[in-house]
Amino acid sequence: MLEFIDGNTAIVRGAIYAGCNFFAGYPITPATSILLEMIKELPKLNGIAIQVEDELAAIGVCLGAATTGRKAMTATSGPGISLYSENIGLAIMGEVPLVIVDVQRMGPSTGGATKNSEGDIQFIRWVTSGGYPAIALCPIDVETCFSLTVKAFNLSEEYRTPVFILSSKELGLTRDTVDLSPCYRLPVREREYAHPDMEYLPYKFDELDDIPPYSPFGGPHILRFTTSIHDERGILTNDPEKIDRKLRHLDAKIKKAVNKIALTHLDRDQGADILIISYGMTARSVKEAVEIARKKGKKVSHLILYTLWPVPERDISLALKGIKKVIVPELNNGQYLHEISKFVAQRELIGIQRLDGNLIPPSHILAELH
Amino acid sequence: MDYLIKETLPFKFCPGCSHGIILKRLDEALKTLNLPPNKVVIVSDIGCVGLSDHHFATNTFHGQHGRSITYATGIKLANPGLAVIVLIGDGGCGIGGHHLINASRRNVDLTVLVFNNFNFGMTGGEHSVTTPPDSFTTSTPAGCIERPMDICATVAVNGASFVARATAFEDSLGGIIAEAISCKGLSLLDIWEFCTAYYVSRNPINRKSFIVLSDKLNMPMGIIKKTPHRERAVPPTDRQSFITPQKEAPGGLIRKYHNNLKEKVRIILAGSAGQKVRSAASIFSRAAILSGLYAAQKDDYPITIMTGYSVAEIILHSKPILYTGIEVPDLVIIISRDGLNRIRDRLKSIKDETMIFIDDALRDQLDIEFRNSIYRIPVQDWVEAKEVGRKNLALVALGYVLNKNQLFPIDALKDAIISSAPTNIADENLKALNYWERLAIEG
Repeated sequence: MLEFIDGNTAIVRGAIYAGCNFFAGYPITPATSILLEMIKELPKLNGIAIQVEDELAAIGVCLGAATTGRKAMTATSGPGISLYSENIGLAIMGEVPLVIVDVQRMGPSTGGATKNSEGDIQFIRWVTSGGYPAIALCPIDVETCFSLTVKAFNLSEEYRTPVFILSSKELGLTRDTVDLSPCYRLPVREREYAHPDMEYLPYKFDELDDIPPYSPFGGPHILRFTTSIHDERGILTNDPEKIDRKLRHLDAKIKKAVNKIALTHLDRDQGADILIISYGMTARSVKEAVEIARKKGKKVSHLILYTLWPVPERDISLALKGIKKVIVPELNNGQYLHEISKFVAQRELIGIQRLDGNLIPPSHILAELH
Repeated sequence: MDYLIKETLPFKFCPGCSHGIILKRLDEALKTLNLPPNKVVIVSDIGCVGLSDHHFATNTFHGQHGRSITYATGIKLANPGLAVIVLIGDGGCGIGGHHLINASRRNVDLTVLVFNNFNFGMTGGEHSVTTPPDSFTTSTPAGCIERPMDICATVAVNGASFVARATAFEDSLGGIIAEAISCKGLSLLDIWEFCTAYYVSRNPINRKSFIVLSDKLNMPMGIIKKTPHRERAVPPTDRQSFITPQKEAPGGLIRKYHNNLKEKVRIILAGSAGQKVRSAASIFSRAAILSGLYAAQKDDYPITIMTGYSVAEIILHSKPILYTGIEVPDLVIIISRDGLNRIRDRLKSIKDETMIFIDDALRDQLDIEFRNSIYRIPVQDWVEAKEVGRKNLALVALGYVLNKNQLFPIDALKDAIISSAPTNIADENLKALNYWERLAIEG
């Protein structure tokens, strides 16, 4: 059964389906409709949705709620992510499950509030001091807005980490025709709690890439949560060995899971020596261009990246086999081209970068295939 | 039981620092109230006060500077059964001042203990928002010229339930802290104390001079406000029993009609605010879906409402729509001057096959030599008809266009109207469409 809804609405529906029961946000174009829809829908399920005084408070209250056991989400655009920066660090250091939606718009700074861009790609990876990673997923249409939001909640629970959803003004506010019924069969992962009888250490891990056990405030255990560098008890530490262990763990737990987190789709054309790597709304322009090219007898393969961080290295390497020319079209100044360049060796690498707020039409991509 | 963990004592604060005294009084207060430790969360801000955590046998949360109130709010809203106590310095009240104000407005049931020693201790004695005038600090070597913030007055005037001021040296401090914790709503206690490392070593201050300072700054000691009232953060619901969401997609649009689409159609509908351009485009798109097509719509409108242009782009196709941009439209519908002006530049790139429907009165505003099929639509007549009016212009224009190109039946449009709008609006829309349909049949 078909519906006519936009990406922002699909994100709300996906979050609710995944069990989100706490949302806090601040109005910002083009993410505001997520805040308003959550305020309308969550109370019907006895959930909490609140507009707060600024973005610092939005992510702050979400983090507080998450530590009591809630599945929390917040949504903003580029300028809001700038304000979230410090608290994202807290989420990474404290290993807090949280879903953060960035409905991207033209930057830098205020930029173009109503103009489209996908320019926060590198920003989202290096958004806070210290350089430690989180996970970032990137939908391409209304259906993946729903399904990747569910995936984001699941990954944030599994890896005790904030997970970003990178949408955009075009995707968020364009209504499209979609059948979401398959999405209502997606698995939902619930938070796993430490056994009440166990002696609880909030940041204990045996292997460097293990995920520490979870226990909420108000539960059977005493929980210590700190944004300072800490030991397995959650207490500030000066011990170089413990510091080294905790920080390497923050890298290791994401790195270990890179293949599990990597969501990509390879449309391989047998015998093609050209590969287009795309993400976001541009992936759809590429799909259309590829359709047209193949009708004319041109062979071309297409790799869509639904996971942007951590970089899906294995999937990219596999897709590059037999390829001589790589094209990376983006709605920014070459931010993922930068990542792909590390994989291409001697192959020809072409970037298409559109900055004026418009989408890349299939014709621009077709022009590079000759 | 003891809430202070004996093994962590004595405190490692500077000699003479009053932080330790206050923490002992907090322990006293918690003992009086006998709260289960796992139901207490102490949220500590950054600064020397932030060293308090590991001394307590309760839950603890140590976050970013000034943001303690926000974490505490999230914790309390998410689990109202917890007693949430914020330990914050005068420094934290500066950087986080407006969170204090907003917590007061919401009257969240938190207890905020301000460890107010008139400077930033941890970073080396810089002045804070409460540094008294003419004080010497490391960042005010010539004496502080800023006016100090009255934290109590600020939260009191903005809606806090319990506001009090005391010094760290009062015997009754434990009792006041217990009273603050017990009082429902935002409770704040401004506790004046000594920073022996910096403030005290640079300024003449002792326990007696606190009283003089209190008078001089007109910041009285004692309970300033006690009016417990309800929280105003979220509408009251049973927050603890979250209802599991349904695992079924809600009802949608089922194909009922046929369509005559040959290939992708790209439509630009350009009008003004107040002509229901966006909702008409939405209804049209839904009608297309009811007729077995895929539709995508995006809107372009200014920040202001009720004035200026309103433009909707619609793409219709027989399969899922990939690229949603329109470089060259197949169909342009212009129903106002605002709309025309907004899309004027885009008209430069149309092709000969593009069909243009334009308000009769605007026809001569098209200043380019078109070889296109141009249809004049009687917008003014529709505006003057009471069944249509300015409000329903866009919908009637789309009906008119549909009648010309027979893309799908008018009945689909009527069906979409009924299924997508509340009854009173649907009635209005149908009336407008029926009026025009009668005209079309007659004329």
